[in-house]
Amino acid sequence: MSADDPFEAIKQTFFLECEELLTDLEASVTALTFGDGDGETINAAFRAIHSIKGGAGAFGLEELVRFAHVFETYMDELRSGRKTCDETAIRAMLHASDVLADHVSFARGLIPSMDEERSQTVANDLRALMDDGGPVGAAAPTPGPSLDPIEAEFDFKPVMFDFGDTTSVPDDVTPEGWIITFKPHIRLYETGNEPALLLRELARLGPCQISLDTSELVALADLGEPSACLSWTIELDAPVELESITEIFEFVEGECDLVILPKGNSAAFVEESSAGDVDIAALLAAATAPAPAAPATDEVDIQALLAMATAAAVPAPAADAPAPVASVTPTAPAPSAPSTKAAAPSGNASAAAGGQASIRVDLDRIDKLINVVGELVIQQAMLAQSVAECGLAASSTVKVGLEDLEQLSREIQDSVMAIRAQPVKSVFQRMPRLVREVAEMTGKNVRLITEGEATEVDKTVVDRLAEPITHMIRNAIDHGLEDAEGRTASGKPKEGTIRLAALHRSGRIVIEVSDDGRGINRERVRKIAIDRGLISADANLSNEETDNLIFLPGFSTADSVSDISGRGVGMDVVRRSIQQLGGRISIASTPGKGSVFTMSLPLTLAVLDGMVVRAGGQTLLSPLSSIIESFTPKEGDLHRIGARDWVIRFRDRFLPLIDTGRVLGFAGPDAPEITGRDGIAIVVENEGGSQVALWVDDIQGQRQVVIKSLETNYRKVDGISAATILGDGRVALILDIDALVVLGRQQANQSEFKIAS
Amino acid sequence: MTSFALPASLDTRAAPALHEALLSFDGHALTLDGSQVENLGGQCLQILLAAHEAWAKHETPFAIESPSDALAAQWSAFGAPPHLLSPQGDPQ
Repeated sequence: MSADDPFEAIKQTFFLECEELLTDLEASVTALTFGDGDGETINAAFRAIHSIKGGAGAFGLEELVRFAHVFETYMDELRSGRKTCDETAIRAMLHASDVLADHVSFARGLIPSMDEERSQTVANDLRALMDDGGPVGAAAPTPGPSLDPIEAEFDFKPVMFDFGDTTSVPDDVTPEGWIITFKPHIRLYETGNEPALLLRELARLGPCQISLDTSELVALADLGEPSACLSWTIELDAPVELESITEIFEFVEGECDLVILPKGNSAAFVEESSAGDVDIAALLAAATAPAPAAPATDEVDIQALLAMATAAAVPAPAADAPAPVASVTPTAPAPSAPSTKAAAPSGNASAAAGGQASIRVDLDRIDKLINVVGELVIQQAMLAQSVAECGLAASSTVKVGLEDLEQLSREIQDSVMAIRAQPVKSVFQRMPRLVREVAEMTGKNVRLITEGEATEVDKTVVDRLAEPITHMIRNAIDHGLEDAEGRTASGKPKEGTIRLAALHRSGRIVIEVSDDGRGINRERVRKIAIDRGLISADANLSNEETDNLIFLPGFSTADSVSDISGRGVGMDVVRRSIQQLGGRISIASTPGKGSVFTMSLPLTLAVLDGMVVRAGGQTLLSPLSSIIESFTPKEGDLHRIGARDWVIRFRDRFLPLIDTGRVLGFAGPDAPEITGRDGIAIVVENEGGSQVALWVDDIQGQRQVVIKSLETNYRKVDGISAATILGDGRVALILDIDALVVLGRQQANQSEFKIAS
Repeated sequence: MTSFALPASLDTRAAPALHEALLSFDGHALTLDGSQVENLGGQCLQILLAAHEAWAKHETPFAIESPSDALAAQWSAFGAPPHLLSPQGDPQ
């Protein structure tokens, strides 16, 4: 993709819009599922599908257009009330929206292949639902011109624009054909649309006679400036509904002049319209006036017009539905006149929602800005340190100025971080589909409740949340929830509930996945852990510790490996990915009542709150999130176990003690033993919630630092997660507590091995 | 007789280049080779039609020869005058 290519850029924008539209669609369908929907919800879903279809048409994504068309036609049946929105309908919508999302992903190149069979099946299901109770004209390819006797009876009444009054809509049948006059403006070309595609779409409706009008063609020499001199008159010999024609042109609304007249009676209407543009405008203004969101007088919302036309139509079997007489887009604003993009598409929910202005910015630019701000903060800290070393009075202007600077740079940092903050909604919105699919596979009835979708967190965190949440939800449905009989037997409603919630808590984001299933079977978990040699048979574990066994690598409670989960890579993978984000996961389970998985993550991966410590002569940083407590041990608190291992007494318990400097190799093998040095013990919590103590020389204080990747700038170092630059300009390594504990254990094993040999 | 091979893509993006190329042949008898054309958009159609008029005005031969199937199909889908395409490669 080249950013210089405006067409490619427009296409990418289209895909971004698709993403939003699919989210809107999902939200609408979900609302309908819960019975919260009304006519407007169906309308919103219709608009979303319609907008996707329109854009896809402009880019020639035929498969996508074809599917969207069927889906949209079905939604139109629903919103017009010709079909009822019952459970079958909602299930069909759910499937169709999944397939539509797949089509978009495929067109975008996000998935390698498209399941054509599924797409066909779902499309056929939709058609079957529409056909149930009468054929629908727009769904199937329309037959050619028929010599229907109704032709003779057809009597066109030209001035029938009062859509508010049903009686004035003629009871006529669809005319045998249409005459369409279409003159693109230059804007149509500039926005990536192409008359060729529109003409092709029209030709799909039935046999077309296309005549090209070149009367406005300018001299070749004058064509250097982009201009649109061609117009077309299309005679469509097919008794299609007006709507099928107008929807082809909807996406070039305001970018062309368009007149659609029923064939055979055009003379009457042309006469009418030739009275002048003013009349048409007045006519249209009158027609659109009742619409609540009537656009400026010089622009007519086809959508509104159609909505009213459809609403006004006498309810009748679809095939006989009377067509509105004519639809005219006015001589829309002069090509160069509109400064804004011909009114926001009516399907654009975000524009409708709050009218918030927003811009799309390349993520790289923001990352660059964040990086520079990080440097600024470091530089500011270094300057502050130098000034402090000068020993100036606290009231000196330099110091006061520096404090202001510090305040400002912190504000800049916060603001920049806020730019990257994204609501978790984008991840949460993907979950209803997952729940549906897993529920279908397991044959369970599941309802998903989401809370706190607006909770914001750094984009990198959002992007990496999807995988662990997906895993946790799969597990909750597959292992947590009982089947319908099981639930009935234990006096619970048949439908299981999964709750997905996000909230901010003390500077971190907390994501909770809870179910109202059977809870963790501790007996079974314990037995499996013993069978797999994960714990010894006589281990004395608290309930909490037993629950946390499921996070151990290779642990799987499913009796059989299912498609959904239980590949034995379940929860330990979840924990690993959450730890990589600097987060923690825990579980609370009540037998018979359900389980709650809670993960807590930092709001950003760019800065970190840490404790600056020294060990082995090096300055290190321990993430504050994993520190429980620090204390200076009394003599007698330290005990040696075996050759080199130490434990420390901490509140009537003994914790393994890790000599940080030695494990990381800063202190050589000749360094004095722990007892020979002064030091401080920092109690940290490692994976699975077990505690260890780190032995450091001293603690220098707490600080927020900018994280710099060590892997990018140097290479991966065991026991170290990243680095930062301190105020004095020195690099400080950030400890990876879990890796450090593992490293300490490995070294202890090695030394034992040496002694044994 | 100057000959010029039309590019494969004659969409809106290709229009400025086509316009410039045609202007550079102004006054010369011209044959456009349409055998490579895969698509044709409204903007390029307009330029080709204007070029035809310009050449006709100076009574200089102008023809689009051996149109590809895609070009012929799109040409007729636009309802453009069929006689401007000469499949036999005979400009006049």
